[in-house]
Amino acid sequence: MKFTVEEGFNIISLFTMWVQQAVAEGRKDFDAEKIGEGTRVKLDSYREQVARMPDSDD
Amino acid sequence: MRRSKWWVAYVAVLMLLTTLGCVSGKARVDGTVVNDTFAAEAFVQLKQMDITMGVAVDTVFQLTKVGLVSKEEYMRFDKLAVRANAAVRTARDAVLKYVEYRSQGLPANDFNVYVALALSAVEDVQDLRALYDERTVIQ
Repeated sequence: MKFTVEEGFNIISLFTMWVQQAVAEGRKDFDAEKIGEGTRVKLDSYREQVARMPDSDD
Repeated sequence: MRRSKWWVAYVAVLMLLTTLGCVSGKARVDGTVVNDTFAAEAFVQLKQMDITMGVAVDTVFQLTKVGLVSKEEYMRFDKLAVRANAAVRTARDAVLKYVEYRSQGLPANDFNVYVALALSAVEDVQDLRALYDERTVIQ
Protein backbone atom coordinates (compact mmCIF):
# COMPACT_ATOMS: atom_id res chain seq x y z
CA MET A 1 0.00 0.00 0.00
CA LYS A 2 1.39 3.35 -1.01
CA PHE A 3 0.45 6.85 -0.04
CA THR A 4 2.25 10.15 -0.09
CA VAL A 5 4.09 11.66 2.88
CA GLU A 6 1.53 14.44 2.96
CA GLU A 7 -1.34 11.96 3.12
CA GLY A 8 0.39 10.02 5.87
CA PHE A 9 1.06 13.20 7.82
CA ASN A 10 -2.59 14.23 7.48
CA ILE A 11 -3.83 10.85 8.65
CA ILE A 12 -1.52 10.86 11.66
CA SER A 13 -2.47 14.45 12.56
CA LEU A 14 -6.16 13.66 12.27
CA PHE A 15 -5.79 10.49 14.30
CA THR A 16 -3.82 12.31 17.02
CA MET A 17 -6.51 14.96 17.18
CA TRP A 18 -9.23 12.35 17.52
CA VAL A 19 -7.34 10.51 20.24
CA GLN A 20 -6.83 13.75 22.18
CA GLN A 21 -10.52 14.57 21.85
CA ALA A 22 -11.55 11.06 22.88
CA VAL A 23 -9.22 11.08 25.87
CA ALA A 24 -10.56 14.48 26.93
CA GLU A 25 -14.09 13.08 26.63
CA GLY A 26 -13.04 10.04 28.58
CA ARG A 27 -11.97 12.17 31.54
CA LYS A 28 -15.42 11.87 32.93
CA ASP A 29 -14.32 10.38 36.21
CA PHE A 30 -15.64 12.45 39.04
CA ASP A 31 -16.10 12.42 42.80
CA ALA A 32 -19.38 10.66 43.38
CA GLU A 33 -19.68 12.19 46.86
CA LYS A 34 -19.86 15.68 45.33
CA ILE A 35 -22.77 15.04 42.97
CA GLY A 36 -25.40 17.73 43.51
CA GLU A 37 -23.34 19.85 45.90
CA GLY A 38 -22.26 22.39 43.27
CA THR A 39 -25.84 22.88 42.15
CA ARG A 40 -26.97 23.34 45.74
CA VAL A 41 -24.41 26.11 46.27
CA LYS A 42 -25.42 27.69 42.96
CA LEU A 43 -29.11 27.60 43.92
CA ASP A 44 -28.37 29.30 47.27
CA SER A 45 -26.30 32.01 45.58
CA TYR A 46 -28.87 32.70 42.85
CA ARG A 47 -31.73 32.77 45.38
CA GLU A 48 -29.92 35.46 47.36
CA GLN A 49 -29.23 37.50 44.22
CA VAL A 50 -32.82 37.25 43.01
CA ALA A 51 -34.12 38.17 46.47
CA ARG A 52 -32.12 41.41 46.24
CA MET A 53 -33.65 42.28 42.87
CA PRO A 54 -36.45 44.87 42.84
CA ASP A 55 -39.96 43.40 42.86
CA SER A 56 -41.45 42.99 39.39
CA ASP A 57 -44.56 44.98 38.49
CA ASP A 58 -46.68 42.09 37.25
CA MET B 1 -2.30 12.27 -4.61
CA ARG B 2 -2.76 8.53 -4.28
CA ARG B 3 -5.46 7.35 -1.98
CA SER B 4 -5.67 4.14 -0.06
CA LYS B 5 -9.20 3.28 0.94
CA TRP B 6 -8.00 0.53 3.22
CA TRP B 7 -5.83 2.88 5.24
CA VAL B 8 -8.63 5.40 5.56
CA ALA B 9 -11.05 2.66 6.70
CA TYR B 10 -8.47 1.29 9.13
CA VAL B 11 -7.85 4.69 10.71
CA ALA B 12 -11.59 5.44 10.81
CA VAL B 13 -12.28 2.18 12.68
CA LEU B 14 -9.43 2.90 15.10
CA MET B 15 -10.83 6.39 15.76
CA LEU B 16 -14.30 5.00 16.36
CA LEU B 17 -13.07 2.30 18.72
CA THR B 18 -10.87 4.76 20.63
CA THR B 19 -13.74 7.20 20.99
CA LEU B 20 -16.17 4.51 22.11
CA GLY B 21 -13.65 3.12 24.55
CA CYS B 22 -12.86 6.46 26.12
CA VAL B 23 -16.31 7.95 26.39
CA SER B 24 -17.55 5.51 29.03
CA GLY B 25 -17.98 7.45 32.27
CA LYS B 26 -16.20 6.61 35.50
CA ALA B 27 -17.01 7.56 39.06
CA ARG B 28 -14.72 7.63 42.08
CA VAL B 29 -15.54 7.18 45.72
CA ASP B 30 -12.73 8.27 48.06
CA GLY B 31 -10.37 8.31 45.10
CA THR B 32 -11.16 4.73 44.10
CA VAL B 33 -12.84 4.05 40.77
CA VAL B 34 -16.17 2.31 41.36
CA ASN B 35 -15.95 -1.17 39.92
CA ASP B 36 -19.56 -2.14 40.49
CA THR B 37 -21.23 -1.70 37.10
CA PHE B 38 -24.67 -0.84 38.42
CA ALA B 39 -23.34 1.71 40.90
CA ALA B 40 -21.00 3.27 38.33
CA GLU B 41 -23.86 3.61 35.84
CA ALA B 42 -26.09 5.11 38.51
CA PHE B 43 -23.40 7.64 39.43
CA VAL B 44 -22.88 8.61 35.79
CA GLN B 45 -26.64 8.99 35.37
CA LEU B 46 -26.87 11.14 38.50
CA LYS B 47 -23.93 13.24 37.39
CA GLN B 48 -25.64 13.87 34.05
CA MET B 49 -28.84 14.82 35.88
CA ASP B 50 -26.85 17.24 38.04
CA ILE B 51 -25.26 18.83 34.96
CA THR B 52 -28.69 19.15 33.34
CA MET B 53 -30.01 20.75 36.53
CA GLY B 54 -27.07 23.17 36.65
CA VAL B 55 -27.71 24.30 33.08
CA ALA B 56 -31.45 24.73 33.78
CA VAL B 57 -30.74 26.78 36.92
CA ASP B 58 -28.22 28.98 35.05
CA THR B 59 -30.67 29.53 32.19
CA VAL B 60 -33.63 30.48 34.35
CA PHE B 61 -31.43 32.77 36.47
CA GLN B 62 -30.20 34.55 33.33
CA LEU B 63 -33.79 34.88 32.09
CA THR B 64 -34.69 36.40 35.46
CA LYS B 65 -31.82 38.88 35.20
CA VAL B 66 -33.02 40.11 31.82
CA GLY B 67 -36.63 40.29 33.02
CA LEU B 68 -38.10 37.44 30.99
CA VAL B 69 -38.85 35.54 34.19
CA SER B 70 -40.28 37.41 37.15
CA LYS B 71 -38.81 37.30 40.63
CA GLU B 72 -41.84 35.38 41.91
CA GLU B 73 -41.56 32.88 39.09
CA TYR B 74 -37.90 32.38 39.86
CA MET B 75 -38.71 31.69 43.50
CA ARG B 76 -41.29 29.08 42.45
CA PHE B 77 -38.71 27.54 40.11
CA ASP B 78 -36.17 27.63 42.93
CA LYS B 79 -38.44 25.60 45.22
CA LEU B 80 -38.85 22.97 42.51
CA ALA B 81 -35.12 22.96 41.77
CA VAL B 82 -34.25 22.62 45.47
CA ARG B 83 -36.53 19.57 45.70
CA ALA B 84 -34.97 18.06 42.56
CA ASN B 85 -31.46 18.74 43.89
CA ALA B 86 -32.39 17.07 47.19
CA ALA B 87 -33.71 14.07 45.24
CA VAL B 88 -30.42 13.81 43.31
CA ARG B 89 -28.41 13.96 46.55
CA THR B 90 -30.67 11.40 48.23
CA ALA B 91 -30.18 9.06 45.27
CA ARG B 92 -26.42 9.70 45.41
CA ASP B 93 -26.36 8.78 49.11
CA ALA B 94 -28.37 5.64 48.39
CA VAL B 95 -25.83 4.55 45.77
CA LEU B 96 -22.95 5.40 48.14
CA LYS B 97 -24.58 3.16 50.77
CA TYR B 98 -24.98 0.46 48.14
CA VAL B 99 -21.25 0.66 47.30
CA GLU B 100 -20.36 0.57 51.00
CA TYR B 101 -22.56 -2.46 51.72
CA ARG B 102 -21.28 -4.29 48.66
CA SER B 103 -17.66 -3.68 49.71
CA GLN B 104 -18.44 -5.19 53.12
CA GLY B 105 -20.23 -8.16 51.61
CA LEU B 106 -23.54 -7.07 53.11
CA PRO B 107 -26.84 -7.32 51.23
CA ALA B 108 -27.17 -4.13 49.19
CA ASN B 109 -30.18 -1.84 49.36
CA ASP B 110 -32.18 -1.01 46.27
CA PHE B 111 -31.03 2.39 45.01
CA ASN B 112 -32.88 2.29 41.70
CA VAL B 113 -36.05 3.70 43.27
CA TYR B 114 -34.17 6.79 44.45
CA VAL B 115 -32.48 7.26 41.07
CA ALA B 116 -35.87 7.04 39.33
CA LEU B 117 -37.35 9.60 41.74
CA ALA B 118 -34.42 11.94 41.13
CA LEU B 119 -34.83 11.60 37.38
CA SER B 120 -38.52 12.44 37.65
CA ALA B 121 -37.77 15.53 39.78
CA VAL B 122 -35.09 16.74 37.35
CA GLU B 123 -37.51 16.27 34.44
CA ASP B 124 -39.99 18.56 36.23
CA VAL B 125 -37.29 21.24 36.46
CA GLN B 126 -36.47 20.76 32.78
CA ASP B 127 -40.16 21.16 31.85
CA LEU B 128 -40.38 24.47 33.70
CA ARG B 129 -37.12 25.66 32.16
CA ALA B 130 -38.46 24.77 28.69
CA LEU B 131 -41.61 26.75 29.46
CA TYR B 132 -39.54 29.82 30.36
CA ASP B 133 -37.24 29.27 27.38
CA GLU B 134 -40.24 29.70 25.07
CA ARG B 135 -40.38 33.33 26.15
CA THR B 136 -37.04 34.01 24.53
CA VAL B 137 -38.53 32.80 21.24
CA ILE B 138 -41.63 34.96 21.69
CA GLN B 139 -39.48 37.99 22.50
